Amino acid sequence: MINLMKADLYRIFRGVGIYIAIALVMIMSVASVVMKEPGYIGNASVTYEGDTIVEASGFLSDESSDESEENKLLVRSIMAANINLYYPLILVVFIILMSDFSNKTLKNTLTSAVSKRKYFAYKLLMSLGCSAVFIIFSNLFAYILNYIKNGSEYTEPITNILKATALQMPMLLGIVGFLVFMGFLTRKTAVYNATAIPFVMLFQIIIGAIYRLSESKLIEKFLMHFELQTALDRLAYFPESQYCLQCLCFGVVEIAVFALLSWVIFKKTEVK
Amino acid sequence: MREIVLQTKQLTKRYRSFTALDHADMTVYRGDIYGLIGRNGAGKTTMMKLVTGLTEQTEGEYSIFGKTGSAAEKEKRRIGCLIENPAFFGGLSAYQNLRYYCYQKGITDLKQIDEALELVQLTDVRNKKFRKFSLGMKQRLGIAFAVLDNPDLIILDEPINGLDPIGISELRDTFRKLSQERGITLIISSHILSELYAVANRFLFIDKGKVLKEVTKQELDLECSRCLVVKTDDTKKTATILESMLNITDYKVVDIGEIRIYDESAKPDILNKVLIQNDVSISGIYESGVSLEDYFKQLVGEVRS
Repeated sequence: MINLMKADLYRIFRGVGIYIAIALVMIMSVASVVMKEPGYIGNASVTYEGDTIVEASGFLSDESSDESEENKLLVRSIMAANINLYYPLILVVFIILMSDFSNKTLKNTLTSAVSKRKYFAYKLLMSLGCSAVFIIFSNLFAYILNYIKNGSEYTEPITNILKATALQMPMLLGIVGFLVFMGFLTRKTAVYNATAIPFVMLFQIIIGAIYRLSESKLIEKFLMHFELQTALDRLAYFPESQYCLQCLCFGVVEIAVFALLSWVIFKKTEVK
Repeated sequence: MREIVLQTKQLTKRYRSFTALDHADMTVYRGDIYGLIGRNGAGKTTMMKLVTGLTEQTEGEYSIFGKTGSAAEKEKRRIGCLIENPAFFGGLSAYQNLRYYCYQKGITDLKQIDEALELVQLTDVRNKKFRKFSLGMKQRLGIAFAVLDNPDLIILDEPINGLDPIGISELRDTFRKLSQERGITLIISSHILSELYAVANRFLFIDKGKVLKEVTKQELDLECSRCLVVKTDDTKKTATILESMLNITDYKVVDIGEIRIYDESAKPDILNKVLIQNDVSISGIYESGVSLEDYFKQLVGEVRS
């Protein structure tokens, strides 16, 4: 697996994809820090207020009335908008996994280096690992940039940022698990992009619409707790430990389920 | 006894109702240049995909270097492959692509990249991006990838596709060099009989997923060379007469009703006369000598009928 990782890192840093993903994250952070407000990609999610669901709005306008405290939480408000990372993460999974499918180089690896099982395990772990590094980089970059640009007035201790990053990680990696599944399912660049890119927006629209039509308690519970944008928003501001544990379990189960589905599909796939 | 490098037993691959490979038996010995001959869609690529683990068999089994199942997986490092079209990263150069696979296989001696590129005469374009390669260059890079890490067995699927006549001739020399100088066993598939005949020493004829015949080059030469075919119902008596009365020893009993005489001095009229005088029933005597193509057609025809 180490050999596969060395080879992939050699390839990845000789392509442009990784630099585009990094640039995308940096641009988003720069924009948020300069404007002192995070921007959201895609459809605004629903969020919670007490026991009921309301339309989403930014943390800064709703949750805090203390301006200095509000300023200090700028990086965490950027982190609350980490659903934005969904798009760079599509690119990360694409670079690691899809390039093998699109160039058909997968067969070279499988015929001369490793078994299907090892290949699958490696690609899953590499996607999760690189995504985790990417998420940490994104948050730390926003933190450092904010410190340089806006000064200490807008900066809280870095430990808070690292803690919030750790809390968000399972939910974000759950989404990476989903993207890996999409990769193994579609195996074609165009189909992967066409399904993964609009998925997050469509999912929010559809589940929101279903909730409004059915007022299902199950969907309400899901939206209040585990809908990605809502969860990231809650996790960014240190929710109660029980909720953090629920999100951790949800993320782990999400990864496990998608990994299992991916393996079942990949095992049956005839490599061309 | 020669070491068996690859052996398949009743290997079968079905896709729903379509059988791509039907109970195929194949034995490849160390040092062989083994030619898989068949038309497009005959099952050659399926056979190669099965033994390289790209797809799973429906029935049967195979062994690589005497190992089966998961133990065979561990022998992958000893195999170099080019299955179907050569596939590499378009944005990387020839050198970078091979470097990538060196990392993947854990090869630390980077001189091997230069040697492989030199072997397929791509040294001059080592820094050119793969996407800018011609079909022939891509094919040669595929072969360079297959020889990387000095494998014991190289499996090449239609390696001469897209090559010009000079390229084909050079590749032929490369195959001989790999076999003779490095002792590498090669399995090469092609639908161009003459090209495989020029390099291989053993052949497997395959059609519609079924193995038609496995022959050595000597046997193939014998089958295809000019001869007199005697059709008779008593091959044993005929053989005795040939040796004792006509002093003909260069012949072969092909099956229960046919003898092929390769002795150029044998004359059909004399043969006919002598055999009839000795009460041997003859249903036909004729000259034969088939091209490889005709031989293959005959083989396909015989199996179908």
